[in-house]
Amino acid sequence: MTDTKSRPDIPIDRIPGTVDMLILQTLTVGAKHGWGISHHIRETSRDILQLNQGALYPALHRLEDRGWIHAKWGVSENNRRARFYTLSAEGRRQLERETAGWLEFVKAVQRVMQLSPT
Amino acid sequence: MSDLSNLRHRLTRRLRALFDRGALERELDDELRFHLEMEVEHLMRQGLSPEAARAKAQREFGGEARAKEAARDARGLRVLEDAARDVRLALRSLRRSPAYTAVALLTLALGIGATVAVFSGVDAALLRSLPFPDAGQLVMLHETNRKYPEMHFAGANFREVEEHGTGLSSVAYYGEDTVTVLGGLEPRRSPSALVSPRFFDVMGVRPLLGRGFTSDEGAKGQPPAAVVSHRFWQQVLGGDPSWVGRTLRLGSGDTRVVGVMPQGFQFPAGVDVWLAYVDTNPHRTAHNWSVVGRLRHGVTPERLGVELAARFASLKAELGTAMDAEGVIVTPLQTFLSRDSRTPLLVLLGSVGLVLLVACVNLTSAGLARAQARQRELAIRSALGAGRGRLLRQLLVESLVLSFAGGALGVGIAVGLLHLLGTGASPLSTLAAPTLDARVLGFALAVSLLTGLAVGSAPALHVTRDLRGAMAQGATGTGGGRLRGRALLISAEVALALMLLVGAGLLLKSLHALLGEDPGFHPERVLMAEISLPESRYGKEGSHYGDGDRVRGFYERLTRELRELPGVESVGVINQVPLSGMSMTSGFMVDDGTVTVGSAGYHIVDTNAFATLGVPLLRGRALSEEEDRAGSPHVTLINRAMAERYWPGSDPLGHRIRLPGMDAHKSEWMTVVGVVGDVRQDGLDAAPKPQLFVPQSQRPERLMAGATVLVRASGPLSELGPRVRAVVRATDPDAPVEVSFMADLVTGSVASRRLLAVLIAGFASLALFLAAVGIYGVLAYSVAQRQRELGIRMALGARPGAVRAMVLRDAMRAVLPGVGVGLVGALVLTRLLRGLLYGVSETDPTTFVGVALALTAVALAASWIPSRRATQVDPLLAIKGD
Repeated sequence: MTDTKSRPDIPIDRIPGTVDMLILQTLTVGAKHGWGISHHIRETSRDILQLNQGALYPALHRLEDRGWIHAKWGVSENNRRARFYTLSAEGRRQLERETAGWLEFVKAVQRVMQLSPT
Repeated sequence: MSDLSNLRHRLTRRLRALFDRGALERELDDELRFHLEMEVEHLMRQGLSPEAARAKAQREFGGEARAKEAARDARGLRVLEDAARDVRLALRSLRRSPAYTAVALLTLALGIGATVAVFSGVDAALLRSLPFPDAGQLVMLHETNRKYPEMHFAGANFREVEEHGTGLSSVAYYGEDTVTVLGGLEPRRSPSALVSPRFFDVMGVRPLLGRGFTSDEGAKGQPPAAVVSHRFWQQVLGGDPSWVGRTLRLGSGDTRVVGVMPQGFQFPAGVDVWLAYVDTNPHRTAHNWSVVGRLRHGVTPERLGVELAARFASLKAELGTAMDAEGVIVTPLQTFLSRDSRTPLLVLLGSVGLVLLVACVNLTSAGLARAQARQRELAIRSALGAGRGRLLRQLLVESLVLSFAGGALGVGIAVGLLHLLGTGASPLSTLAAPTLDARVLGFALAVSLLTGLAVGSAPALHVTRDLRGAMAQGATGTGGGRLRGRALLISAEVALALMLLVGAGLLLKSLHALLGEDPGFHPERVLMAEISLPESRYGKEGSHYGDGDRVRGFYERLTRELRELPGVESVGVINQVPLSGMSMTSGFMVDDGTVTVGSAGYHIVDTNAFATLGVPLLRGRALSEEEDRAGSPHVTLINRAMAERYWPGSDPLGHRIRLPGMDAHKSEWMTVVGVVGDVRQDGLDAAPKPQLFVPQSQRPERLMAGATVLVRASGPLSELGPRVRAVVRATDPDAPVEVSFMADLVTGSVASRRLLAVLIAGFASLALFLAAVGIYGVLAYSVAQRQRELGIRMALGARPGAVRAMVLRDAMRAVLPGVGVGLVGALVLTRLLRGLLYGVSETDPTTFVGVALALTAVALAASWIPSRRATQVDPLLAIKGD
């Protein structure tokens, strides 16, 4: 059982657009269904970033609405009907823009935080 | 992927969202269920039992419902589907509380209905354009000078305008009259108008059948021609098209019907017969005609006024006293026709708006209470995943559903009200009968929408602001702060109701003052028979007036016969009755003078007129049959106003008067032989004007056109009418007669004031009632909310009196500021009533104080029941309760 109390409380939607960016990034490796996306983010962030349904599905629908991702019904690894999402060309461009902005932002925040005493 | 295919993709999604909602919903369900199952499997792989895995998965993922709802929100075009769902929800929720729904619907229906009804009147009189082509170009023209700002036109001056008014494309005159129509079972009087030949061209309306007048029709020597109204054609001529070209027997002589106007053409209002008449009168002071003109495009009424004023000023300079006009006033026709109804209508609209506001305040406060009671329900829905926006929207939709349903009912009520008031009692002319046209319906829609938003937004915002708190507290808050908000609502409705009540009070007081005025005569038990004699038999060749001997003979025979009737006390004749607003005015000269020194109302009476009317003789002698014969020296009576105005402080008896322009005896001097009491000629609100009364025996000629025979009865009048009518018919079967009660004259003269006062009083009562209900509701609710607190107070030994006083004090703390604000508001608003008041100032202290006291008393009464209930709280129950 994972100990939830010792984990720092990081709300994944603290910065608007973060969720979208994470989803787009996740889809660069290939088509994934909703649970696959949230699982991938949880795994790669070592359980720090948790994306629940309430945040994930609205985001997926929003991204689909904007044409950044496409969805198609397919068959999952355990042989069940699942909705798979893929990155569109437009989505890829959007991801590039967001990544650049994000890295700038992280660097800036880091510079500020390093100056302050811990 | 190209942008185009991207766009196509997105469009398909949106269309699906709209049209294939069920399928989308199912897909979303599938997707979420799949997610949950994957998560459960994942957790089980980590070693959890199936049950624990499922529980954890469900807990961690937050409400499934919330996810669904949010995902749905992200979908395009969700507004429409949400609206439909919100309306369904609202209907369900309203059905669950039928009492609240019924009261709210009724309040809204009354408020909106009254507002729509009044607006339809405003629409008809002030907004809708008149039913003539290019009606905005039509203007009324009046002569003007310093003394009389608005005079009818003289024919000679009209011709001046016709020739030199370059700003007008066409212009015509008309004069309203009545005409006797013979040839039916009974002779009848029909409203008529003498018009210049181009009249219908100016109005821009062609006859439905036949033609209008030719340019020389109506001139001397031409055969008389008439155009009749659609109504007249249908009712009197039987709708027979062959009447066009045939001859109608009119009192003025045989007249050819040349045309029938289309239905709905009514100008001047109510006219049935238009007769062509070409005026050749050279006198520039013969103010006989109303003048209507059509402006050339691009010309404003002001510019035309300036142009004509210049022309008239130079004419006046040239002609001197032969002309009394100094300029011309140009008024748009619509403004002219609506000016009497404008202020009353706007006052009514304002009042009914205030009522609607009170209703809104009431519903807001009821909505607040209801929303608070529903907080637990809303909190649960919120926990299930509905966002604040969604809840807010749902509450608003609920109130909009109510207001639109109320609005629909209100339109029904408005139709009923309009029907009830009819066009007869309405202060508007028949020209602009109020109907529910597109503009009125649009107004109803807008009012409903605004009402719904106004009533719904406060409770919705208030309740959704702090749902989490509500969940923790449970449904019963202590509600201290909320009561303060609602106290404001009480103050508001008290203030609004007070303003209306003050207005109603002032108008009712005016009406009372008016009815308290002495009309100067006794109308009770007097029957009036209005008679006019056909010119063809009573006229005199070469004269406008009747043949003196024949007219006098008729009235002498008639009055003699009438006196024989059982139950008749006395019978008199007068040509224009008091309070009718009708009078002919004549300039007069005094004691051999050669210039007119004043003007007075001209009346012809027989020797019994004053006795029958109950008008006292103040000085000198009454008219007498023996002394004042046709051949003896002419005499006149004058009224007190004339004596005081022209012979102040001296004796008018014995002075001599001549009327140079009035009747068939222009050069004859009359001696003043008596002074009679004043009567109100133009209405109870108009001070008596100088009047003179000449004897029928000496000057009967003008009685041909119309006179009223007054019959005073010793008993009830009801049976007398048919008998009087029969006697008139026996005396001359061609003389049309209309019988009415003189008492109705008094009522009729204040009818429009009474209507206004009654309507405003009705609105004010409605506002007062709503305010009382509102106060009661808020207090009852607050007492119910404070049960525990009150119970504790009682348990600790507070006396019932003290508890009651506390509740009443709370109520007064809301009511009294409202009274204050209302008084100030009333001081400002009643200024608008100034022109409608009579015998009472618009700041009348008695009314203000009286209304404030009465309203406070009503508020106290409304608070009494809740305050009593507060003392009946069972301490034990209240403490345990919840």
